[in-house]
Amino acid sequence: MKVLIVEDDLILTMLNTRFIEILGHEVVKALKSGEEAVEFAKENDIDIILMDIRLKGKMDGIEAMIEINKTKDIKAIYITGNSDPETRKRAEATNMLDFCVKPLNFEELEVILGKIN
Amino acid sequence: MNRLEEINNKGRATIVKTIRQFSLTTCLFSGISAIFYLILRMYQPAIIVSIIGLLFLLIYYFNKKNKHTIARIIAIFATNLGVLLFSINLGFNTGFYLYLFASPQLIYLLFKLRQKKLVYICIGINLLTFLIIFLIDWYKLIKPQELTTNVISLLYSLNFGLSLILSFILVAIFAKNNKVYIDLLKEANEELEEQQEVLKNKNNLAVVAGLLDLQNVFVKEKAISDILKDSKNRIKSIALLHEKLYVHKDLDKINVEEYINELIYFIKLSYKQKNINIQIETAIESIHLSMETALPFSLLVNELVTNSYKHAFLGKENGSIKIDFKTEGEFLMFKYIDDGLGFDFDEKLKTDSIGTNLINAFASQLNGEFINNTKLGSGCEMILRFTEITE
Repeated sequence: MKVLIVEDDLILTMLNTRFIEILGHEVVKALKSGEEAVEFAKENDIDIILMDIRLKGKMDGIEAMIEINKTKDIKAIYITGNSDPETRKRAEATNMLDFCVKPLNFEELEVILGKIN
Repeated sequence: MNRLEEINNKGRATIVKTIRQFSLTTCLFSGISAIFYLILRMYQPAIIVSIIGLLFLLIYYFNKKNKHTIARIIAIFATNLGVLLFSINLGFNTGFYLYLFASPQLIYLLFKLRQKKLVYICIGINLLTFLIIFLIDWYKLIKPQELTTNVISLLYSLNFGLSLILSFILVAIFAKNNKVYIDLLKEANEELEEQQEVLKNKNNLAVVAGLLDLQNVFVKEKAISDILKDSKNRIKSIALLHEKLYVHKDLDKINVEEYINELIYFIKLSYKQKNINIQIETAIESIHLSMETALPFSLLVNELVTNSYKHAFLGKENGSIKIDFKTEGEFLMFKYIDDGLGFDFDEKLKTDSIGTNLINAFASQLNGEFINNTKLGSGCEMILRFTEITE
């Protein structure tokens, strides 16, 4: 599967990239902002997006997914340190595969990606 | 500088910029008025509006030098001076309209910048009121009453006295409300800083737990893998506490019911074993604990559940864990049972078993009555009766 990572923390990006690669999937790109993700998703082939919610820039992860889903049917795995009920509700209203709290466990990611396979 | 301060500073800067623009506009109008009066050879009003113009130029200068309080005082003084000089020299109605100069500034200061519509409506209403009063006066729609000098003096004194009292009351109300507002702002600021701190801690813990998790993927030896997994789960259980603090915006209390259920979910994921079916039954009251109590308590639960998953059901096909947590009067009652193999707790304590030693340490830290019925061959049963830790 082709995975896009949107995360503004470099170390967590590195960790998630390794987890995904170990699980046999391809990380097509790692981006830091929602705006960049929207632009990238328009022109590239992606199967799933690993999306942080609090991001650099004006757009948060959920807003970015709403924009992306206007043109493409891509599911998101939200990974956030901000799992309050309102955020979760907003995320659930989008094309969401799962909603995870940081730190993302390797086993957890394996289970989630296994759902698609 | 945090986000709240940044927003406040930006807001203040925009207000100052707007007042500077108002001051320059007023200056320009004063100049035009002065020229107009000079052409009509009306020297007295020309001098008065020139003074007002100069004062507003001074306001612009002080605002630019960040002396906003002085600028505001001069703004009030300039407007009132203009009104009074006109009224004394040329009759009351001539100066009254000069308040038009100051009113947009006052309205602008009364409302927040985001309330654009409200500001426009209020300035509009203000101008309309002046227009109506002007038209009433122009067309003499209200006929002035013939009053004696004594009655006029009485009216002036009454109006003056009442206005003075009202002004003092308004100043006092403003001072009180302003203090409340500033205190609230300070409180919100502190809360925000605290939340940022929690978030930062949580992210750091997330990174550490993630690194241990990644390292573990490459470890082939079970003993080392277990050590890494245990360490990661201990960090994860603390990160989860920070998460609960952050999510509920209540930086003092943790919802134990929610916390334990999530903790169990992560432990299940970490130690899932293909051949064993472990059922976990929880009866947890919705109790909120302080961070001081929740930290050792959560680590205790983490150790107990982890211990059961790792050792209690070895060689078994089924297993069950029961977790009870409730209040009993002023006490908190925690009960943990598994129907696994059991172990000799006291003997284990003498060994280098980190898990058992940690269970003992966290139970001691909670400073309650710890009853341990765990025996080799008859499962695990631990009861802890404690109260909230107070500093």
